[in-house]
Amino acid sequence: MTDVLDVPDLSPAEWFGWAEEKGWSDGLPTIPPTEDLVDAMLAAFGGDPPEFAPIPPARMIPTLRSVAANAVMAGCRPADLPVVVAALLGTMAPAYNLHGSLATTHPCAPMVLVSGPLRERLDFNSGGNCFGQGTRANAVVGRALSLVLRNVGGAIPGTMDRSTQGSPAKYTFCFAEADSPFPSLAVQRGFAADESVVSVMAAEPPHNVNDHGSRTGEEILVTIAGTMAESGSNNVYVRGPHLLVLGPEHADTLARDGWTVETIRERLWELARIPLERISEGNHVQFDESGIKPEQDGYTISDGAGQLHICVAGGPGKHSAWIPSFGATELVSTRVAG
Amino acid sequence: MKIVDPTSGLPGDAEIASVAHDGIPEDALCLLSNSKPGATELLRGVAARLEAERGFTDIGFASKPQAAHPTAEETLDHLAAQYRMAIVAIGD
Repeated sequence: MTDVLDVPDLSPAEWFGWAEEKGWSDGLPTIPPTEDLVDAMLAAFGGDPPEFAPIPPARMIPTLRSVAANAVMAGCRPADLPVVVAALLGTMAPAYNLHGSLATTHPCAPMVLVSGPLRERLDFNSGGNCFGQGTRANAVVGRALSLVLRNVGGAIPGTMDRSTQGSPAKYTFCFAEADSPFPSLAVQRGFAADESVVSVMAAEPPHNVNDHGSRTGEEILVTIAGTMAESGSNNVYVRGPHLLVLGPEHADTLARDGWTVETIRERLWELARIPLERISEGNHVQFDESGIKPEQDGYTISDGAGQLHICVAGGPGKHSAWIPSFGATELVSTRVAG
Repeated sequence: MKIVDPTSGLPGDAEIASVAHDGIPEDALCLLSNSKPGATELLRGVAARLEAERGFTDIGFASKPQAAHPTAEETLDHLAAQYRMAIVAIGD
């Protein structure tokens, strides 16, 4: 069986339309995955050939060549392929719940968080506008993963991707964590500081936490907890992980006041409560049927302090971000090969 | 030009063999709810019509623990061993 297709010689604009008609595009222009470009990407892949699992909903097992083809289409450089592969392997862990996260009506997208030396080597953005546009590595790695899930896995909107509204993060959702006063997320999860690691989670886009007024770490945590105490989040009744991305200025204030990752996590678990009056009568019933009971005067966010993961990213300014998840997922971290 | 097919891959599942026992009636039917609000009611309504209009009897029922989670393998195996057909509620 060959995976090579002989297609007409097309101009870039013609290719854009042709690939879109084939159903291979996320709506943005792609680069033709010509054999020479795919071969060049494969030649730069230094690790052992990965063992991929079937990608739902189509249950197709990708090949390294088809992953590379999608990476080319997304605009990846050859050096980006190991990061794409590590992210894809992470989504294949059973705990990630790839099938549920791709087929759900929830707007979750595969979030990719890069830690370790590859951040600088491949120019990932961990600073200003790290969730936004303007950095090739962030843009193309997240996009490549989404294209693989679409083109090999069949997660096509309207058919097998049943998201009610989707989100912009479904185009690409990739950023790197910054150096900070706290241990990196990868180190917190048992990796060495000199290892490059990719962490994935089926996640909503970042929810901003604007706090210019607080002067202490405790005050900042009050604001963050208020943002997390959101009535309509999956984390309330499906539970599961969530991620706090502290902006560097908030992180510095917290570190100055003696907070650690562990104490931040514990304090936010205490503070983040959704008052009962902010939950509708119907949702009280649904939460109860899901086994979720209020604690004292409010509902908690997830099952405990340990479900909150914490890292630092961003540039100057007094903003942080809370990233809720699909709920029925886990943050999965994978070392980047090579 | 020659391109690498971005949809290419290998089939992930071997052919699934029927596991229902020989003695199970041809019309042995179960319902599987995805536990979304209303899914169970929808399935119960379908079952009532099938019983009234098509003569189905002893329609089984199972549900996922929660909509976002996959159905347990044991549940699927259990249903597959006892029934020949399943109606699955996948919507809200």
